[in-house]
Amino acid sequence: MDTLKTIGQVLLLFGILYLFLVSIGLMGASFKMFGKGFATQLVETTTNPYVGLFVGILATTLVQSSSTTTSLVVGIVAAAGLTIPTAIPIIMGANIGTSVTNTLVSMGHITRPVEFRRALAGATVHDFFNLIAVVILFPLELFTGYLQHLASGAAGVFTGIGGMKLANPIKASVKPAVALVTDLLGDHPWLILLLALLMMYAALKFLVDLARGLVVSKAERFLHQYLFGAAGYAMLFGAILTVLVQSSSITTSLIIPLIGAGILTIEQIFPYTLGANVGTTVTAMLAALSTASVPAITIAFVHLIFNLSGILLVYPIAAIRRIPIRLAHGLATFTSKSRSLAIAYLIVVFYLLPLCVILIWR
Amino acid sequence: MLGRKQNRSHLIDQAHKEIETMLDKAHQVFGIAWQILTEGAESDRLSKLDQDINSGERLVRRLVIEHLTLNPDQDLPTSLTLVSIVHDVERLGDYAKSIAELRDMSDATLSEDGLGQRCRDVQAKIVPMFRLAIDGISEDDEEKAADLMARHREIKAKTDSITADGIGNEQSNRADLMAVVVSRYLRRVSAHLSNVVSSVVNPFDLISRND
Repeated sequence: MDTLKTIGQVLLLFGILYLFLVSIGLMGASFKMFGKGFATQLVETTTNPYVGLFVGILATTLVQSSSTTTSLVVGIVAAAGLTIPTAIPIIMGANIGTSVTNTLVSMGHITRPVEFRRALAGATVHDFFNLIAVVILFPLELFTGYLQHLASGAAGVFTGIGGMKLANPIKASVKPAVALVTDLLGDHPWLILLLALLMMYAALKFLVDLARGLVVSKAERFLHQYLFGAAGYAMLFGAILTVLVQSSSITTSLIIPLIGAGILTIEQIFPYTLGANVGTTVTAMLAALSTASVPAITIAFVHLIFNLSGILLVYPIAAIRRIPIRLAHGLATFTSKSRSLAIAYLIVVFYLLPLCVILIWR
Repeated sequence: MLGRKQNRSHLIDQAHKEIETMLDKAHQVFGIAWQILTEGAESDRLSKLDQDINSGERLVRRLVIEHLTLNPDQDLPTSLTLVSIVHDVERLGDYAKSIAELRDMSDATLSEDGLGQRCRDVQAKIVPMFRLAIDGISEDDEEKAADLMARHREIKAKTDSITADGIGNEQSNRADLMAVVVSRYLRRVSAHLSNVVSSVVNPFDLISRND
């Protein structure tokens, strides 16, 4: 009976994944209908990289899913609605925005000060790592374009080794469903775009919920085995678990109660968090493959390379590795004296600041 | 209350096995401690076994909270029960070790007659209760659990009687005083064994009750 249930859930998972890929296709179709003028207008809106960065943060904090933001960006890039340079800051912003979920989860411990201090520190180490990565890599990208160059190179290698042969069947399988929906809705690009956005949000939400049910319950033996062990294993475990549940928010939030209870330390969960950051890039990669578009695949590689760069920058040297950990401890200690400060941090960093920057600089 | 083995999640099963191991180690501590008290035997295993029991308690708590974090809907009563009884097992180790420590605290020995002999009889009755406790919780066996709880009621009466006779007699000597203290420790060991198996037969809110 359990086996039949699992088979049913796996089939459902593939069905929802298909809907997600169709939503990306529909987005592309709607952009084509809007025409070149709309795309130009959209590109102009996000030409300012700072605005793009904060759009990425705000959009992700609002939907609490970096996969939604990055897949959206991939879909728009595939439809030529965004250029790669304008999309890169949004991807970086999505990385910061995604850490809002575990910070919100840590608020669940607010009634017990010591537990809250530990939980908040465990949650914000992810925030600080992503902030440090952006503070260093964002200007580096503006001045050198290293991410774009590396990602273009990776996309070139990918297509060179026949990666499109993998992408084309996915695109071909999605095409009839996209054609059917666009035929049904006719020449109404806004309607198709709205449907695509709703479908993408719902599909990702169901996909994550279903994958969580399928994977997390079975992950407990590995959690005990790898999270308390060597950092490399913890990182790999974080990456694999995130690939399976398609959400770094889920994997990083999952361990917050264990940090709050003092079972795990920030030092132990830090590599796991970094692994989750890498694992979450798989969703954008899937979305990009379904478009079989080189710029879309390039932007998916940007997401992956950005996260790998962040790890290489921060993790190998102990002195640098300690910076996000100390900042997280510092913030948690400071806000534990007045817990309303923690709520203020959450509202200002993830919502107010991005909103103000967007309104002022656009 | 502790659930069937085949239905348990991995971490809860691991926690369960750890409690059985801790009980086995507490059994060994009890045996070694009694030899130290009555025969003056020396053993460096006692501290190590006690440390293992303390580490076991920590491990069980960690396993349970890890399980509840990932699967809060599965094995909830079992999880809470394990956290409750693991403390009884840890106390078992402590009380058993305390019996050995009496040897260093006093020149008096446990006599082989009178109150001392009555303590020896009680100790002999407690020894098989460890096996009964391990079997009771590993097999979720209500009969064994009920049997152990009945034995504890008997031991409670016997140890209370030793205490009353020891402190109520104006002629009591240091050996009697030793027997009184030993009887209180024996009573606690028996009580914690009873608490552990009470989780098999009692509802959650009545764990540790032996009415």
